[in-house]
Amino acid sequence: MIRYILKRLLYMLVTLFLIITLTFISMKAIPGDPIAAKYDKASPEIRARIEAVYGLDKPKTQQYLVYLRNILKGNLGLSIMQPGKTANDIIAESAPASARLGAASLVWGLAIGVLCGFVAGMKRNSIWDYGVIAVVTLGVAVPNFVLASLLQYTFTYKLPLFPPIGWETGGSWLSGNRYVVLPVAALAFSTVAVYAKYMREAVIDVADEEYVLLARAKGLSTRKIMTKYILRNAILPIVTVSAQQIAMLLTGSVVIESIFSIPGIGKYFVSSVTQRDYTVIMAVTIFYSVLYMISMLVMDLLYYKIDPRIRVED
Amino acid sequence: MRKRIVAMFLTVIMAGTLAAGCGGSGNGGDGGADPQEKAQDKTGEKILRLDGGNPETLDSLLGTSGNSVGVIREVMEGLGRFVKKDGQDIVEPAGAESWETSEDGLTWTFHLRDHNWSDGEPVTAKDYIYAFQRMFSKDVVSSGTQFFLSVENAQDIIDGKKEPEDLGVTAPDDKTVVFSLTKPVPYFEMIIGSTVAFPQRQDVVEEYGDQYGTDKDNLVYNGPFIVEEWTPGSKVVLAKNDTYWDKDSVKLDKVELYHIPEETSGMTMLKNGELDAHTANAKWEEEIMATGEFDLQEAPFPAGMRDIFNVDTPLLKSPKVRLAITLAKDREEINDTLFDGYYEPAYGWIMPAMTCQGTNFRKEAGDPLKDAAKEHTDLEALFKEGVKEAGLNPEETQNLKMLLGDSSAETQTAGELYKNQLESKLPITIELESCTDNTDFMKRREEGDFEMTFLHMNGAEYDDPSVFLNMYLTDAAANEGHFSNAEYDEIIKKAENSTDAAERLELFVEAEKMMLVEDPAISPTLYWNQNFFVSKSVKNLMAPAWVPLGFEYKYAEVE
Repeated sequence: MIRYILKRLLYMLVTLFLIITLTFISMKAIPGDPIAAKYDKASPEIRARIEAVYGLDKPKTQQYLVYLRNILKGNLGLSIMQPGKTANDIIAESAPASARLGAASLVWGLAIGVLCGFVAGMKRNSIWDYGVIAVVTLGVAVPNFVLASLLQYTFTYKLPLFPPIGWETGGSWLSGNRYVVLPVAALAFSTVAVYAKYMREAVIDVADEEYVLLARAKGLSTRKIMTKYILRNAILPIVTVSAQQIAMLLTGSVVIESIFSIPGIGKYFVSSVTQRDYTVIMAVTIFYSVLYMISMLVMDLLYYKIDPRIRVED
Repeated sequence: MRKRIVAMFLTVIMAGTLAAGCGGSGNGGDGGADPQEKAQDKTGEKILRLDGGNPETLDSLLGTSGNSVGVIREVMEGLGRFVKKDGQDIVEPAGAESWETSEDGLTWTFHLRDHNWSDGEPVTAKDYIYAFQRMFSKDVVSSGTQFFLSVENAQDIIDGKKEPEDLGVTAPDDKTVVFSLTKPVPYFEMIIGSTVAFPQRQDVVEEYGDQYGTDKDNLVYNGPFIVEEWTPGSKVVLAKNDTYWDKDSVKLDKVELYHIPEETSGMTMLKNGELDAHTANAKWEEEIMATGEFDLQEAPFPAGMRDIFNVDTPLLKSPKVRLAITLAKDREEINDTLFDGYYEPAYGWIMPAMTCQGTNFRKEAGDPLKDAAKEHTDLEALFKEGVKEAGLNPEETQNLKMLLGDSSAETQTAGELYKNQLESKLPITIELESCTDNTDFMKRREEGDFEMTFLHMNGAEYDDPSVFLNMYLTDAAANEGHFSNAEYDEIIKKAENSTDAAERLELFVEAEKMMLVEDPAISPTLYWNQNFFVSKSVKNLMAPAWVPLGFEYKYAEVE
């Protein structure tokens, strides 16, 4: 088990190295540079001074090596757009908002999605089932930025119930405050759809299994069959999907944070790309990759814990 | 039967969860149900709510974005402050009580008033000297240096020949700051009002090092407000500064500045009563004004849109070709089609908002492009003549690449419109090129990697025609189209060294005509303006032309 984890961690480092290298190359390949973006009319002397401060005057291969060395020290570099701030500061400052948005979306998406899927699976071809299928189809087909704009238009412009943009830190983590509602709804909708879809299918599969039939034949109560036999077995695919969902929430939050002007990492990701703030682009990419890889690992370990068959094969 | 009960049971759970979900949001729902209610504070505090809450730093030497500058000028104070008095844009005495200039215009002396930093220390001439020397030091990257190159030894310090301590800014005593210049700068008081010329405290800057100004507690204030709260990327809350020397003039208790990246959100907030003012435009005017709660405040703004010719392009070597292209542009149509007629077609380049030492420039200079259009009625003949001059075959259709600022649909539409205007009037084929985004566009302009650009903004930093005309001097850093005309350089140099206001004005009028008609460097399109929707409950909210894209609210009041 420990060997397995160590092996996975090693793979993660290799993957991370490849990600850093590829991001660095593609980032330097986008036309434009941060100095032109920040200082509209910089004279050549000023430009030379700025380049020297950020090490942009050195050849690109050297910049890459310096960057790798700094990363090993845990130093993600100075932001060019926000003087005096390091990329570490920016991530530390903006991570809480993103975490809150992501966690609320995941929890609500999971709870509502699993419940809907379970009901739909149990009550196949009923009105409940059709209702859930409709939601699933919509949730998978409608991109979250469309939904976000729609929600924003409806509930802030037509019917001013919520503030159109902004963020406040008050309120509990899951229910939050009035600023949290629309972004979480927009972000969680597709999560609801995905969980409902998988849960419904799993419930249908499991309900046809022989052991369920046996349980029924033994005369167990439907409630017991549902919770003990069906729910427990049907929940397995949910764990697998969760790793993907976390990734979806990360990328989704990039768009949602921009639309609702939430001071999270995703918003900085977008603005750092348009401003060519190299260090911040790299830092956020690395941060996202590490987060995703860790969530994959955790899900795999969780799966290992839940499904005894994997342990046997191992 | 049993099944049905289970289903019922699940339905109840589900409904319960959903209700809980709504309940969760319900907390917010109550607060959000009536935005007006939230807007009206319960404590009776006077709060002004505006856009602009995303400063990158509060270091007055480093902040370049509109949001940074906007916050800095309210929480700090320099020698003078840009305000609007009786419709006139002026620099009123602020940190300095008064100032005077020597006869030859080479020495400016500022007398500081007695006032303090927010930690109780007095603001002294040393703080100004320190800020200016820091501006020119090697470890600090400040765009401010380019405004003060006329200060003694400035250029030598940039070139590494002298040290920042040699800069021609001195303090004969604690309350006097003296600037020694290498040439007369009649508009010098305009540039001392900008945030880069604000004082800084050496002990505070050194205490925080590179963290100076990155957080509300990492600096001291001397302006009408202090920063009370700063959530990066979201909002800034300012509170009245009780140690400010002129605190009796400050009627607001708080100012809330939100970061509003999108116009629609801003307008929605305005309509819902969550904002007190916002930049206006034609698309929203009817709807916002229909609420009856806003006034449209018009503010001429020293910026405009123009196209740059790169004179290294073979076809554009001839001034006649450039003039023909300039005159073939239908400015009215561009304004009406693309901007709902919201701006003003430009037949000159120095904007109507600008003066030359107090005299309105545009009134003196007229409309050079209208005059030229009367003179040259046959544009095709003019164009062909120019093509011949450039050494190309006038009977062939010429090709020209036009560089668009980004790849958005709006920009493409704009490009197509101008392409059609040109192709219908001249024997020319326009190829539209797009940049990936504005950063790419700036880089390509800086490198001179274009034949002609189309439609982009250029704004003035201070009120003098030289701000735009100096850009087209041979070898000027901002001369992106590599324009070069010895006669033009001569005129500008002469104006630069003159202290006679009438003579300067005359020379600038001549220079403008030259760079637009005789040897066009650019082709102007529109004069910009900056109109605002301002809530009727707000009084004395100023939008001085020299406060880029924002308000001066030291004197603002909220009912």
